[in-house]
Amino acid sequence: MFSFQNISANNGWAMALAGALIVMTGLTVLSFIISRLHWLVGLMEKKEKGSAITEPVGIPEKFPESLAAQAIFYEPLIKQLPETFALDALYTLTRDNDFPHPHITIRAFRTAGFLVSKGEGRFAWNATKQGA
Amino acid sequence: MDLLLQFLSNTGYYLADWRHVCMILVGCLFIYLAIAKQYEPLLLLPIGFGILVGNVPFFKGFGLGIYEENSVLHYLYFGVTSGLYPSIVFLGLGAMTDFSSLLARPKLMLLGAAAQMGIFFTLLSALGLGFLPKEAASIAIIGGADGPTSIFLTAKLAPHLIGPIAIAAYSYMALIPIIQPPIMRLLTTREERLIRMSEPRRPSKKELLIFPVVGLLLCCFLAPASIPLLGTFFFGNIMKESGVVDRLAKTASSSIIDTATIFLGLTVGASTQGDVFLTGKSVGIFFLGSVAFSIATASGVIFAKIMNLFTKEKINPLLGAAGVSAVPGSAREVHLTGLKEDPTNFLLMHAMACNSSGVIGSAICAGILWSFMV
Repeated sequence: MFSFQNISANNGWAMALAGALIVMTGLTVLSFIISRLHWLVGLMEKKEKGSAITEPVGIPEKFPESLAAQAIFYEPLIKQLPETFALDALYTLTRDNDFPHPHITIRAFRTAGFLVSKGEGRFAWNATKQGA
Repeated sequence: MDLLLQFLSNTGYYLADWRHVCMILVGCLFIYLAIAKQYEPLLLLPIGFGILVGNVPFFKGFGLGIYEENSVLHYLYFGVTSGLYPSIVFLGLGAMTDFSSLLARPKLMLLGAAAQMGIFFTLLSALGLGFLPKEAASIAIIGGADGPTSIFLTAKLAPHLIGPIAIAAYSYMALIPIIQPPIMRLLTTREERLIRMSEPRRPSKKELLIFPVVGLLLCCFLAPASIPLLGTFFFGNIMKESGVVDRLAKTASSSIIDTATIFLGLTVGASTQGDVFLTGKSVGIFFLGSVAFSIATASGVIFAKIMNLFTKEKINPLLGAAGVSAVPGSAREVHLTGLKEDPTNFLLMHAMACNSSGVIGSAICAGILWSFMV
């Protein structure tokens, strides 16, 4: 049967309270520290100028709806990647360039054959498809 | 004729009793769930088959059973009782974990902490029901929804309960698609489930490299008893992020974790011999396990709602349910529940942040509980 006396006799209340507080405090401190990490890293790097790896790509205010038209904006990004690439590399580039809904678009490109699988998780851009 | 009778009296058919039959049925159920329903097959298949192996009746004294010294199973089981397999699993887990989304949105880490409240609620419940403190702590850790952590702590505090606790922990992890969604829906409104999370920034390579070092030092200084789990976890992660030991990281996240998972599952399953497993305590453990899991899910969701009262940028409270450390099951469930409300709302990456925080949180809790008991 359930008994509150058992809890008190085994110091349960103190253990539960202390345990909950410790884990909350620990993860809150860790969370605070990692929230400052990018600031700290920025300080260390002292804002290395001109270190951008990718060229920013201009996108229109209203992104076209047709896939073929969207492919025109994706092509300059894909040229920055090797001939075959992992989709997460393309995703990162599109996200860094503020492309809308890159997840959905990349999936649509795959389905429509703009992105062709080359095995082992790598893909290539099907330029002929764009002209079609 | 005597020889034949003697042989027959030593067969499993003669030695079997209702407990063996009962456990064999449980084993078959696990195998069915793993193969037909694909509920956590990587865990349930080895455990289910292990239950079959452990419940073949045999003549005691032959050195066959998992609890008999010098048996093959006993040697393999050493990895469980010593805490070796959980430690290795954490190494692989670290090598597979991407902390990008957590680093991009550190406040999601608090949801991982909040979901650990199920552990301490269950500690009180187990003590109230008359379990000894070490047993209660081992049962409570089921609320962390982390199989290796549960096994690790139980091996240290209440080794006689490894079987039921491991089975309970893995069962509830496999039943995430059934347990979590009703709790999430009950505690949230449709408007809350529709909240969109903004696209997270991409953390720099340096941040990803610094995090495992900071995480290890901070967490293990706080709860040194969690070193066997978090030490290997963060080591696995820095191997992955450094990019200079890709071979090691790849091996840790594939062959090594797979090997440990195979032996962990098989031997935990085999440790559920009917005569050891089917006791009143096991029933209590299963009941408390379900309480622990449900409270953990609920406390994560409720905490997210509380955070929304104080923060400008709202958090989808479904993410709180991913604060339990069942990776990636609970994150997937949060994602699917979000998609049911809005097919274009992708919560997976955010849920993975809470999930990875939950892994760290439950390992810290294991360390805290262990140090309370020594």
